[in-house]
Amino acid sequence: MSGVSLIYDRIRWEEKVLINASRNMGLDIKVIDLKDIYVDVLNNHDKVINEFGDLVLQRCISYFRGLHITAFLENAGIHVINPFYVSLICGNKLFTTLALIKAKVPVPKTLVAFTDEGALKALDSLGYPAVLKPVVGSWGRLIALLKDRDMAQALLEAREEMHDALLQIYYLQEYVKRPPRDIRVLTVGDEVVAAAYRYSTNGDWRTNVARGARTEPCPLTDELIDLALKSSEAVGSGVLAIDCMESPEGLVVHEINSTPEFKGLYAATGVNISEKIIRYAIKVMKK
Amino acid sequence: MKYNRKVYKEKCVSPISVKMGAVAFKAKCPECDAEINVPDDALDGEIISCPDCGLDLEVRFDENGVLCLEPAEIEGEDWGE
Repeated sequence: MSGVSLIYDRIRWEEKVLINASRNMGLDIKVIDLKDIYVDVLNNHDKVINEFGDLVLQRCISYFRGLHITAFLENAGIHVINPFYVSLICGNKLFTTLALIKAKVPVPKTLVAFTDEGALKALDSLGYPAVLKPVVGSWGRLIALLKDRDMAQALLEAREEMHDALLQIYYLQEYVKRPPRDIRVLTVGDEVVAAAYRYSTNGDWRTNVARGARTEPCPLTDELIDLALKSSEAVGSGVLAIDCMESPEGLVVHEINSTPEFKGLYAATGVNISEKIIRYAIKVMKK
Repeated sequence: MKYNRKVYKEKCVSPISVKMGAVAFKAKCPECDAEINVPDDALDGEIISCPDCGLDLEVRFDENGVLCLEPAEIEGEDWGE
């Protein structure tokens, strides 16, 4: 069998179980810390294969690190999970929303503005409360629940002061009247593997496990399976965590993660997610 | 920007109650679950590394002398999923 490697910048619980699962399945996995290496973009296919194997599980905690190493590897003809296009789309909330709309997947009402004045106009049209999210960012960082115009003005002004080009793209969403939870569904290729409710805790309205959210198993209904597969396909398919909310009009998808953490999902469901991911990797490699 | 301390306090599996200068003991890494031997002379604010995942952890004692390990590294703005 040809080689597989896992690229990381920090070993979290997920990377540990993936490495263990692959070794248990007899796969010789090379574990590479991206922080320690450099790559020569002129290296030919054989040289790159020699270093990374035929398939790479890209598990960087840093989105931009992961995206850029994927660009290099794919260009050299190496399979990467997830592929460059999938990571590119999923790493940006606007690109994801657009891909979902194209695939006719329901999403929350979303407006985008390009200056703070534009954002205020958008919010007047959207109404309060509303949600302001950075287009790139994770773990609920800088996601703000805007309760009124005064609060919006203050936060938009603070954003302007941050002098970060990506934070000057204002992605604004209706505040979906959902129960105090959302649903995370994990898809591996064209299989829906597990789903869990994530309940916000600690008085936080956000439902990120990184913010302390509690998980509970969620039944895989036909509606949920159908929505997850359609969403996965919309962004190019791979190992994905699809986050959706129960709106009064039905399920809406608000985010897709392409380097998913699944500790909470595993705790809630007991599904052997790492083994499913490795099996999928082997299948992709044989293609 | 630091990790949300509240979250990691809860994730800290075995915050063992020790007074400063007590014997060495084991704690769990909040990132990867590995067992970490915290030296008996560990001080509040000292940085130790997890032998498994390499995460730098800050040794903290709260007002009751209860110890907890918290990630010390600064979080990147593009981190996470």
